[in-house]
Amino acid sequence: MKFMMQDCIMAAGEICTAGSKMLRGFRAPFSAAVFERCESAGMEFAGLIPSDEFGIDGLFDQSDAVDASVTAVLEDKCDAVLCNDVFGKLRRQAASNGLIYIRPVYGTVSRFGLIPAVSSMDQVGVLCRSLEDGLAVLSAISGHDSRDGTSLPQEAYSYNADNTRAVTVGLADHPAVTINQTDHIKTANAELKYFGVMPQVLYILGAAEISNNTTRYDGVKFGFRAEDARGLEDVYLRSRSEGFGQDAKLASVVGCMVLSKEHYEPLYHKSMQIRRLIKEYYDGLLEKFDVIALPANLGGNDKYAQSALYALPLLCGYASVALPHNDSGVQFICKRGNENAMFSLAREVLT
Amino acid sequence: MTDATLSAYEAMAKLRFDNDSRAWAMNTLSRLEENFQALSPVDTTGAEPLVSVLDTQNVFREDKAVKFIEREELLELAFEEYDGYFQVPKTID
Repeated sequence: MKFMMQDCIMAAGEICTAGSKMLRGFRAPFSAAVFERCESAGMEFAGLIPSDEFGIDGLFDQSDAVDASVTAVLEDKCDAVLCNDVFGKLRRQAASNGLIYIRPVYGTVSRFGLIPAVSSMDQVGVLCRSLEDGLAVLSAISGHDSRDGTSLPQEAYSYNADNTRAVTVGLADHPAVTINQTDHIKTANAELKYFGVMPQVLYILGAAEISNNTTRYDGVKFGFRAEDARGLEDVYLRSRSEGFGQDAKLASVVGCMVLSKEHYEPLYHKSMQIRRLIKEYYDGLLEKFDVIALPANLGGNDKYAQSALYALPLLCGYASVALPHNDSGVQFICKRGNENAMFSLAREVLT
Repeated sequence: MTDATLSAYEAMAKLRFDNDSRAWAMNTLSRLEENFQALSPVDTTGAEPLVSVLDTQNVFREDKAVKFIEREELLELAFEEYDGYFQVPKTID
């Protein structure tokens, strides 16, 4: 099997820029855990694919060009791409282009060697053409890694879509989400609380973490340095001003805003509290249902509004799979331990 | 959102927007700031902030030195190095 990686995931000796001029020419000094694991599993590395700058390019505008990773799979350059889908672009585009995007439970796949964007939500996922290929890659890259402090202790995972037990599915109240009931698939409408504030919570917490994570790009230790900078402050200011694209700059500035004295309590702290309420509510809902089904696309290019669809796995660390279904595509979301039930449901829908 | 407020945030972030993108940044920031007010009505009384989605607390390893990467390999990534250290332009005249 051939795999590629977004160039926010490191392969020793390869240029790895996370799509940023700030990392132009940066040669990875070591390999990501997921790269090592794919190679150990006998998969063939077919190269890195340019990514959006820290996965956030176009976050604040209406553009939605097809991602290079999606194109690579569509053009048969590989069977799977390892990606970090931070704000949902790849889940949306996979589902609308006949592909599949699998986002694992947070902590099951090592982030060692992944250039960080939103550390509490970053997770290497698999973009693929077939569910079976995706599950083979996911099984290969999952498992404990002592080099990632958020890695769960389980040594290995085996994923498949062969579940035969009954699956209960909580459906979003949306015309695109239709799942046929069968002997072993039971559906009911699910009340999806807090959806109205998920974009706010996602953007506030996401920007704060991006802002923090991008402070390491200072023009000193590695990466881009502006020419003729005079003094240390000038090195910082000019290197970061010239090195970052507009969206990365804005994410940093939004992060500084929500972490500033005036906004910390009403925006940042409150978002963390709401994240707790969201997790408690959906942990409970996912006791009642094995899987929650949401559309993978709301239509239109308003990414801020769309982000409500993709926020739940990010904010709660759940697994999700996005796949083609009806016009908008569908996403399934589940808690740790229910992944194979979710994948079986995905197979059912795909066939 | 005023130009002065944006400048204050730029100073915190140690970066500047160029003149072409400044108006866009200000408008987007204003729009987000206004939209973020939707959080106000959410009752969060008694809710502890959620920092990590994992139940695990501190993760410790054995107190054993492990050589991960050579100093020289990291310094090769530096824009400028001198005698085993990162070098920056002169900071004090």
